[in-house]
Amino acid sequence: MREYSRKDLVLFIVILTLILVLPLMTGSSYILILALLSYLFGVLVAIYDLFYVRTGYLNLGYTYIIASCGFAAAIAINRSTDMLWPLLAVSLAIALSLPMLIPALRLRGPFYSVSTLLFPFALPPIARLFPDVFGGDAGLYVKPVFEDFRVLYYSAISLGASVVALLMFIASTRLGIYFLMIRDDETLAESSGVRILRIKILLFLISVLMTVSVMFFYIQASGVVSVELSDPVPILIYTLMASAVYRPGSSLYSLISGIALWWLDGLMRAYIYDLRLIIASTLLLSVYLVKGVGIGVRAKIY
Amino acid sequence: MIEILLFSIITGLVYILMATGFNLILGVAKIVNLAYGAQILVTAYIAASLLPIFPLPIALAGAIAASIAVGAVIWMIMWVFRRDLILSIVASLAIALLIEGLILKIYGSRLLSLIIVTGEIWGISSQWVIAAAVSISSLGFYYLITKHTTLGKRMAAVAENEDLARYIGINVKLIGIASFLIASLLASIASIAITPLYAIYPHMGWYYLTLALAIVVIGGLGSTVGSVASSMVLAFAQNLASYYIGSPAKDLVPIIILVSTLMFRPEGILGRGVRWA
Repeated sequence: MREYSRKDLVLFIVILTLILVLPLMTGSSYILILALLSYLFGVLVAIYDLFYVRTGYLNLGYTYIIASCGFAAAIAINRSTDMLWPLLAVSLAIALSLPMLIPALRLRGPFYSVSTLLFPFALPPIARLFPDVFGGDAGLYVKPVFEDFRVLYYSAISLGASVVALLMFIASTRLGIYFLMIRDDETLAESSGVRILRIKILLFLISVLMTVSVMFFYIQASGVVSVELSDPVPILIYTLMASAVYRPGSSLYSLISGIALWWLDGLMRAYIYDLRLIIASTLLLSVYLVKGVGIGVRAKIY
Repeated sequence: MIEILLFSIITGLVYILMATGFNLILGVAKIVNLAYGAQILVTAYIAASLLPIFPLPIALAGAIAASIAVGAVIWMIMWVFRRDLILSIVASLAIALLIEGLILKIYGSRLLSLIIVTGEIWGISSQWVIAAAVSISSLGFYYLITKHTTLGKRMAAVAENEDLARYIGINVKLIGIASFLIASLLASIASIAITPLYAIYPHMGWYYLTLALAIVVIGGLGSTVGSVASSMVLAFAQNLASYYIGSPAKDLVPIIILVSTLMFRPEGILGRGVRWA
């Protein structure tokens, strides 16, 4: 937690408290679902920020992992009749996301980024080819696990808070320092004794595990899972933007900006749908232009 | 089957054209331009808009000019972000989305079509013949520029060693602009060659971008022969998969080939072996 000041932690507690007391302030299920989804999106951004931005391995296909984990959880919940479904969900999520590990093991920097961008475009044709499993373009209806919405709400909030706390902890451990070493100079990190291969596999497994647990609550709240989740637009824009608002690896700020951007997107969908892409992309460009900071790899291709 | 083979060769030729432009920017300007697909999109929409109003040559020239103008604007923005490669990737992604957003705002989400020629030549669709002829002549033109002009030699020098090129007096920025403009020209020609074969829709830029990315990664950075080989492999595999499995399989082919290539030969089919993790 050394990376955060007391002010940062207070801000996190204030936001968490606001979300916790929201059901006491409003009975509108629409507002509560929106709040829950935005919070879970913020947690996804925080996961992305630590594992895929701080390491310098800018993954432009994270929406593939998000959607794969969503489908894995939905298939496990819908098809498994016993209590083994969490195990099935995790196994499926790892199996579906596994192709994404290959570029991480084989490529670096910009080549890794551009290769990962292709993956989100794989899910829609897979869903169309196997409609019985993925539900085609329409997606899958998810069987509810929680009978009471409040139980779902508070369980999701607790899970999200635990994930963010764990991310903050990881960032302050030796593993977090290894991430920075990999970002700055992978070859030097390797020669300093950092086991790059092991770190990359660990990073992948932890990120999938965290994502599938968040996606379990996400699909429970939304009730459906579809290939729309893998669409890089606008989820990727918001994730990139949220992680750039503060320094990479700052899970708290990623969470907060993720929540804010989700609400902004909701407002744009409601009032200025046709300008949504223009505004979102201009904001992304402005954030990076104003920040003017590099997030990892210097301009060297060869 | 002959039709599939013929169509694969033609689409393969256009893919080479697309990948060549993308590779040029990557090699010379050292910029991963994710707005490249959006330039193909702009050309297609402007050509489709101008064609009902103006004669064919003027409409196509207008579309190409617009694409080059968009390329110049992209260059100006990308130059600011160029010092950090990842930053420039994000910036080009934002530009691509901005262009797509503008197209959606102006044209809506309806499908358009671009019909340049109709009829058949020796039993083959005239559009196919035009696409093949345009691609081959453009690639020939590109070859002439890169191999037999001072500009081409300077581009090769910058691609090989930017610092050394600057040291011997080459204006690296100017060469970068030239490479961007030539790449924009190639993107617009590829767009005019391929969009009459399919429908035009606002998200199509992503499809062509993913194709160009896949070709470059599979073929190997800086390898023209690699790009040619991977374009042809991709075109054949896509059309065969579409015929035997179904049209969704076509979109899956680039990713399957990409993952397989990365597993067994991460530097690409004919790459220089510089991308190992």
